[in-house]
Formats: sequence, C-alpha cells, structure tokens
Amino acid sequence: MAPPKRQIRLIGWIAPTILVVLWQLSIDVGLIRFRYFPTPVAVARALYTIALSGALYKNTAHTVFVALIAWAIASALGVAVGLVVGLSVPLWKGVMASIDLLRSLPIIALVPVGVIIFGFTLKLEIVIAAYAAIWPTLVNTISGVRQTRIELLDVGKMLRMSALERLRKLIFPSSLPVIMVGLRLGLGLSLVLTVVSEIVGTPHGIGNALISAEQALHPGQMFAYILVVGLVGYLLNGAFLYTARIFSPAERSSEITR
Amino acid sequence: MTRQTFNTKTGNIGKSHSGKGVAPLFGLLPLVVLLLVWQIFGNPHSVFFPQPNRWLAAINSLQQQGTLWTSILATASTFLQSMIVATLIGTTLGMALGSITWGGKALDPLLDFLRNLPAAALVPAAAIVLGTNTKMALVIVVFSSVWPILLSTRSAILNLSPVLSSSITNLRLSGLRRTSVMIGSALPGILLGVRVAAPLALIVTLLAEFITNLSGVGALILSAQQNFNSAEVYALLLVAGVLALVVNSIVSVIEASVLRRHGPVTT
Amino acid sequence: MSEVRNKGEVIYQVHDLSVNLRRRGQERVILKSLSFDVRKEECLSIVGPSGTGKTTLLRALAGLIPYAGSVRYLGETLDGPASDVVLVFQDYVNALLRWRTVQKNVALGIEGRIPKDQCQERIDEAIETVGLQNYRDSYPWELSGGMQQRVQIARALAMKPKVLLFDEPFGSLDAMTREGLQDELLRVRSVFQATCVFITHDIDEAVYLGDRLMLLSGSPASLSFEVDIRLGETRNQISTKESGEFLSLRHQVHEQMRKAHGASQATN
Repeated sequence: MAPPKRQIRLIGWIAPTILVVLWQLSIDVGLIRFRYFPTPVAVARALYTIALSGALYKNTAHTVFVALIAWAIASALGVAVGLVVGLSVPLWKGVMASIDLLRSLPIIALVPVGVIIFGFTLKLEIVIAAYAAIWPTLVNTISGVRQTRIELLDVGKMLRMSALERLRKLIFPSSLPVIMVGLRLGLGLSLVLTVVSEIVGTPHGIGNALISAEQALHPGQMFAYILVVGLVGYLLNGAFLYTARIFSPAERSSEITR
Repeated sequence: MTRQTFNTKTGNIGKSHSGKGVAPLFGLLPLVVLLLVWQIFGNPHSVFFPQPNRWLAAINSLQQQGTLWTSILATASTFLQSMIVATLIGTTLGMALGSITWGGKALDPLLDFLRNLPAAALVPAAAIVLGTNTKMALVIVVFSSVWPILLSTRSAILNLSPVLSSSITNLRLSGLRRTSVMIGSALPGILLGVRVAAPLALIVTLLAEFITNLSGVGALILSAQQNFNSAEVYALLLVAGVLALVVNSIVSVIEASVLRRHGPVTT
Repeated sequence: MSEVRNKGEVIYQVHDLSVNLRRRGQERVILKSLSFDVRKEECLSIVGPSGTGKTTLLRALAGLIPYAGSVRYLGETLDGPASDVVLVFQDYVNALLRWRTVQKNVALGIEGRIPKDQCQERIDEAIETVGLQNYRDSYPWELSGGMQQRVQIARALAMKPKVLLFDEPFGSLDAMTREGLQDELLRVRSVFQATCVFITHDIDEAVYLGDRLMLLSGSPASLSFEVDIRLGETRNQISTKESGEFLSLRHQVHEQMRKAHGASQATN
C-alpha cells in the first residue's frame, strides 16, 4: 500500500526547504556572488510588496484568463478536427504528414509572424497560445481515435450500432484518456506561450511585469514573478487532474497523469 | 499513454483498427498546395502575408550579407553544447536518483515544480544575473532540457528488471563494470529523454537568442520583426523549421543505430 | 443433444466459402472453399491449430468481413452483421468497455432499443445467469479474467440471440476457470437454447462442448473432418471425460489433426 497522502505532502516539502535554505546561506556566506541574484528573503519581500499593491493579482488574473481562453479554443478545435482526421483513414493519409511538419515548426519562430500580423494585442496573446496548445490536443485525439481496438469496433458492428453511436459509446470514451493527456499538455503550453508573448511585448500580465522588473533592475520582484508563473502552472495542472478525476472512474485518472 | 496498445496478452487480432504506422509523405500535399495557392493568388505587396518567393529572396539576401550561416552556426553551437552537457548531467543525476528508491516521494514535488518552470520566464532572470552572453544561454538551455533526460533515466533505472539487478549482484560486478551494465540497460530510457529534450533545447536556444538579442537565428528573427521585414520573418521561420527537422532526424538516426541491439522499445 | 432436437432446421447454410485478407499489402487466401451447415440449437465445435483462420471463419459468419461464395443465414444471403447473432470475443479485455460497470456493459447491446424496465429485466436476468449479481457495479478491470468473460457472455445473452458465436472464449484463462466456464456454458445453453458455433484449438474442449465437430486445417484452411458427438444432454468434467465415447472421439480428432498437419507439411 502507498503511504497516506498527507505523509507524502510533508515529505515533499523537505527538499524545497533545504534548497531555499542553501540558497539563502550561500549568498549570505558569499559562496555565490552575483550582483543581481536575490536571496529568498528578498524574493519573499518583493512578493509581499506586489501582493499588497494589487499588481500581482491584476497580472496573474490577466495571464490566467488569456491562457484559459486560448486553451478552450484550442481544445475545441483540436478535439473536433482530431476526431475527423482520426476517424477517416484516407483523410489521415492525406493530411497527417502536413500536421507533423507544422507541429515541428519551433513555435518561438512563429511569435514574430504573429507580431507582424496582430501587433502587441490581446489577439496576439490568444492566437499564439491557442496555436501552441492545439497541437498536443490534435495529435493525441488523432492517435487516440486510431488506437481504438479492432475488437471494440467489431463489438459495435456486432451490436449493430449506428456510426454516431459507435463514436459516442465506443471510440470517444476509449480514446478519452489519450485525449485528456493532450488537453493537459495543451494547458501547460497555453500558459507558457501567453507568458512568452507578454515577455516579447504585449503590455499586460505576468510576462510583462517580469520584463518590467528586469528593466527596472528589481531582481527580487522578477524572481517573485517567476515563482508565480511556476505556481500558476502547477496549480492549473493540479486543477485539471482534479477535475478529470471527478469525471472519470478511479483507474482512468492514472492514465491521464502519465 | 501507450499502455493500452501493449495490452495484448490475448487476441490474435490484437491491433488497433488502422494501426499506428508512419504517415505517408503524400500527406504533405495540402501544405504544398497551400504554398502554391499563396504564391499564385497572394498579394505581391502584402505586408502580413508575403508570398513564398519573397521568403526565398529574403533567405538569399541574408546569405549574401553573410549573417545567415554565422547565425545558424551560433545557434547550432549553443544547441549542441547544451545537449551534450544536459545529457551528461541528466544521465548522471538520473542514475544517482534512480538508485535511491526512497528519494522518489521526497523529491518528486520539487522536480515536478522545477521542470515545469517555463524557460521563457527564466531567460530574463538568467540575463540579469549572468549577463547577456553565450554562457547564460547555455545555462538556460541546459536547465530546461535536462529534465526529460534526468527523469526518463531515473525511471529507466527504477524500472530495471529485478532479474537484471540481482544478476548484477550475482555476477559480483562492481564499480565501472556495474555502471556500464546499468547505463547499457538504461540506454533506451536515456535516448527517450534525449528525443524529448532535443527539440526543446532548440526552441529554448532560439528563445534565449530572441529575448536577449544574442547572436544566432533567434536574434535574426527578432531584428526582422523589429524592422517589420515580414518576408524575412517568414524566411527565418522556414530556417527554424528546417533546423528542427534536422535535429529530429539526427536524433532518430542515433536512436535507430543505438537501439538496433536493444529490440523494440516499450515505454 | 442433437439427436433429440429437430435436426432439419438449418440456421446457416455455407457453400463454397472463401475468404481473402490483405495483410501488409499482400492478398492472402485464408479460407478456401468451405461448405457446411449449422443446424438449429446445436453446438458446432470447430477445432484447428492456431493461425489456421478459425477466427476469420467466425468473423465471416458474423458478417464482419467480406467473403466469396455463399453464406445463407436463415435462408437469406448474409451481407453485414446479421440480426440475432452475437460474437463472443476471446480478448475480453478489449471487448468490454473499461469505463462502464458490469451492468452498463451488459446493457450495451439493448439500451435505447427496448423499453427501460424491460431492458433492466433482461440485464438482471443475464447477469444472474452468469452468476455475477454481486458485481453489477464493478468495473471489468476489477474482476478476474474468468469473470470478465462471464460479463461478455451476459452481454451477449441480454440480446436474446438466436446464434452465439464463440471465438476461443476461454483461450486465455487458466485450466480451472476454464472448466468452470465450460460447464457454465453448457448450463446457459440448456436454459437459453441458442445455436452455438464454438471455436477452439483445444480438442478436449471442442469435444466436451460440441454436438458436432469439424476440423479446420491447412493453409489456406479447409474442412478436413467432421464427426457427430453423442455424449448426451448432461455432461460432467470427470465422468464424461473418462467415458469411452469421449476418449475415442478425442483419439479420432487427434489422429485426423495429425494427418492433416502432416499433409500440409508435405505440400509446403
């Protein structure tokens, strides 16, 4: 049996605590000497300041909002197109190589294309994040559908199910775990690319705050925002897994985590 | 994710209905058609959507200025160096962490947090601490691409079959021999990590160059964007795409040649 | 059993059936020129070495694959899955829906097609027949292999089929579970009185369960031997399998199988 959850949580805190203490000590003692490398205490202080001023909330809310919208768009499109491509073998043969090629374009090189077309707007943030998030969802939906076992399809034929029934009762549920993995990866990418377009120039959100802190030479604030980005990603991921677990029987959630 | 495909302890038709298979190359046709249509019906003066022939012209002029190849070389060198360092660090740490079984529960949350830190956010931090130089880019690229290698090496070691580990003990292998046997059996896992890490490393390299205007393809892209030279932006997207393809095929070749002795990998 | 029942009525009439399958781009003849009948309420065992095309034959009878020649089901040419025919797959892991409970799995073939209360009645009946009433709300992956296979049988029974096609249903179960399920099957059959076609590579199983036995062998496969099995209505794992009749049938089939195997070796 696995140890109780609480115990895992407690143990999980040990390593980060040690790391933070080492970080603080090595700067205090002078082991690490960089001009702009803040101590954990300085980062905590900066975090307190931005939390108090409301900047933290405003920036985080913007970034999370944009990331979620972009993710929702990407998910809807990715699953819909993925189902169609996955279900039709001729269509798959006809377009999959294109999808693979487009997917392997480094997303960062596409950001400037977006900047040229949209300028530094909200639209840019959403389009870039959605573009990045659509690929794992699309590719996983396609491969999930195509992985449907032939036995399962035979069951459908045997029970004389209509095509729609087969999709709804057999193919979609059987590929759901794979699709969920894609959705989860997409959520992470959506957040990262939202932050990237803010760093590159969109004047809102965590990414923008981060780069402003850099230019104002406030390393404490900057590291505070990095911590926030990490936390937001961690929490979004956790929230996704939690929701997925509610909607699916126990065994399946472990497949999504993989 | 692939668990259900390997669940074939029974069944003589144990296959998915359309198989996994490699997508046939004629699937590139839609993309080719799109580019052709773009070329033929596109607006020759479009700022947003320059025609493909203007991309090629832009590449050509970059080449004549001499910036194209030096930039590609700079990017390739950062990428290669960080892949080597990341593979060394990732394999070593992964093997170390894989041999302490009790470490899992204590380290998982921290590793999980660190590996999910977006590189994009770390670039400015590294730039402010280390200064804008190649060393900074190296640190960032290594930091973000080390995780897949570390984690998959660790799980490869953790999942070493008990038979193998007891035969290592049984044969009284020690020191170097023991390590080399361990590396050998963890090799598929290590390579899997490298396969995930390589495209990531390329993206982070470009990102670091792009955000800090460090020399390389990323910086070329940035200056093209700042000059609003859209043909050049598209051209460099093409270059970045080709780089990604080259990286992927090199990794595939390495994987194929190393894994030939290992038989099919089940992950 | 066959002697007491009406022997005349024919469910399947197969004449000159051939099946070609494409595998890795190559067209291969799997079955060549099979002719046989399946009679009402009999259990026809088809036995043959693994890889001969038994499953292919069953899939053809189920209407899942195209074929050449003629297959008539209840007098009509078969094109597509026939009504009142259900196939029970060997690979229960993949034939059951892992995301549905036992009850919901059993419901799969009838839900939304008949009134709700009637549907529930049939589900309960089928689940009780296979003895899973305590596992209605379990998921397949929580059950043992034998129990999962029972779920699949219950799903088939709930549809009240005229014909049950069994594709080596017990092939991946251990010997004990297997014998239990064999007896279960005999019992279920005496209750539901469905016609069965049972495919296996296990000669004992084929003899024990069948009223008639056919041997499928060679490549491409054809029917090489047929025998009536007269072991009576009630069979027993111990006494039936020790009876002279059983042993002599077993002997015959073994002999024929070896002969057929030798012949195919020689032609290769």
